[in-house]
Amino acid sequence: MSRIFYDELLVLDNLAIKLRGVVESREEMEELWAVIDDLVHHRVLEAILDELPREHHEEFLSILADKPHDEQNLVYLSRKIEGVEDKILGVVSELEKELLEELLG
Amino acid sequence: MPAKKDVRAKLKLKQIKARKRLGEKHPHALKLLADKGVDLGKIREHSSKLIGAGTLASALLLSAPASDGKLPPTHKITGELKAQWEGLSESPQKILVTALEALPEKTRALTREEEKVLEQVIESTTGVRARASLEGEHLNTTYGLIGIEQHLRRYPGDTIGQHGGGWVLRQGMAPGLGAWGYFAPTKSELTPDLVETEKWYAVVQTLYLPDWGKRQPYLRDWYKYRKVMIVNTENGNAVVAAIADAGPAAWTGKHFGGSPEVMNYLGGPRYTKGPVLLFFVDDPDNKVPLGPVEYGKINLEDVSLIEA
Repeated sequence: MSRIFYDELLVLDNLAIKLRGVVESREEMEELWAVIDDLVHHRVLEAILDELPREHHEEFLSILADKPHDEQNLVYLSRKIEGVEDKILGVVSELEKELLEELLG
Repeated sequence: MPAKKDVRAKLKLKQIKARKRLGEKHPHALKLLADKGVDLGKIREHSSKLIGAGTLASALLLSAPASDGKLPPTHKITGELKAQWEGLSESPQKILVTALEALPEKTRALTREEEKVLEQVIESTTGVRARASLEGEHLNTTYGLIGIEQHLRRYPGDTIGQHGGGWVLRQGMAPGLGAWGYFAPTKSELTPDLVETEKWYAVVQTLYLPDWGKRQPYLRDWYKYRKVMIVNTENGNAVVAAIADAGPAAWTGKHFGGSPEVMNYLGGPRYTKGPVLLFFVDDPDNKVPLGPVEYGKINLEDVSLIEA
């Protein structure tokens, strides 16, 4: 399955609606979905690694590579980063705002 | 509104910047992932491949916490269902809802064993042969969140006003076409069957299937208007729908989509998102109609419970 452990925190509905109105074709829409997905993963991982103590980076990245879907990853992170879910939500919300204002506003 | 080409270019630029920034701040992270063969931008594909290879099935079993556990064994569920069925103490829908209470609250990947249990439970209570895998095809997920979609253009010149009246028009018309284009080349060629197909349509994430790009045009044809059974796991309301679009984007937090009519039947006029099961309908003779599943019309004589 294509789920990633933080998927439930990615609720970019407004972006999806706006994006549908500016694309020319189905192919372009799916291409942009992939670009946004890529953007989300990089921003979220950056935020996680910024907060996660350096000594845990290798362990976490190994877990991520082996079980990217596993919700236990969030449990693991919550033991090491206070309010990790809120931090991810914040990054995602900021990204949506940025994209809506700068690209689709 | 910015020009369409600008949106694409700006998004791509942001993507490049985000990659560069992560690489500069945490170079060890991208190296470690690369050493493990993982490109962060393709992590969904990687995740799909892991599941496809079956390597995650056991991990799911082991990692699921007690409160998020597996469904009870098939024999336990079928045994309980038999008891209720024979006594006819409950309606089939109530029986189904009771069985679905064993599902974890948060949607997640189901194991093949869990899917088999659910196939039996659904078939036993609704009479519809629902299958997680059909002809070797399997969606990335069968238990996920569904979100409301807009109407699809059925032919060139189609307008929202021609899709009925009242609340079903509230969602409006999708700006683009569905993944399979128009349902008919002209209005006069739109058959009653195609009207029903758009009315009761479902959206699934075919674009995230690990082999979607490699097995064309077979998969595209196989999924086009493929019947699926959608069950609201909270109230047991069920609909047979036809796949007519691809999506939603993974970053919407949803896994499936339903037409306004599908969503209304599953949860009422204010229902826009919720957990559902979505299985293929095994209907080689095309006898199962699209639309609501009416539990009251089940022929009990034809329904049997078979212990796995």
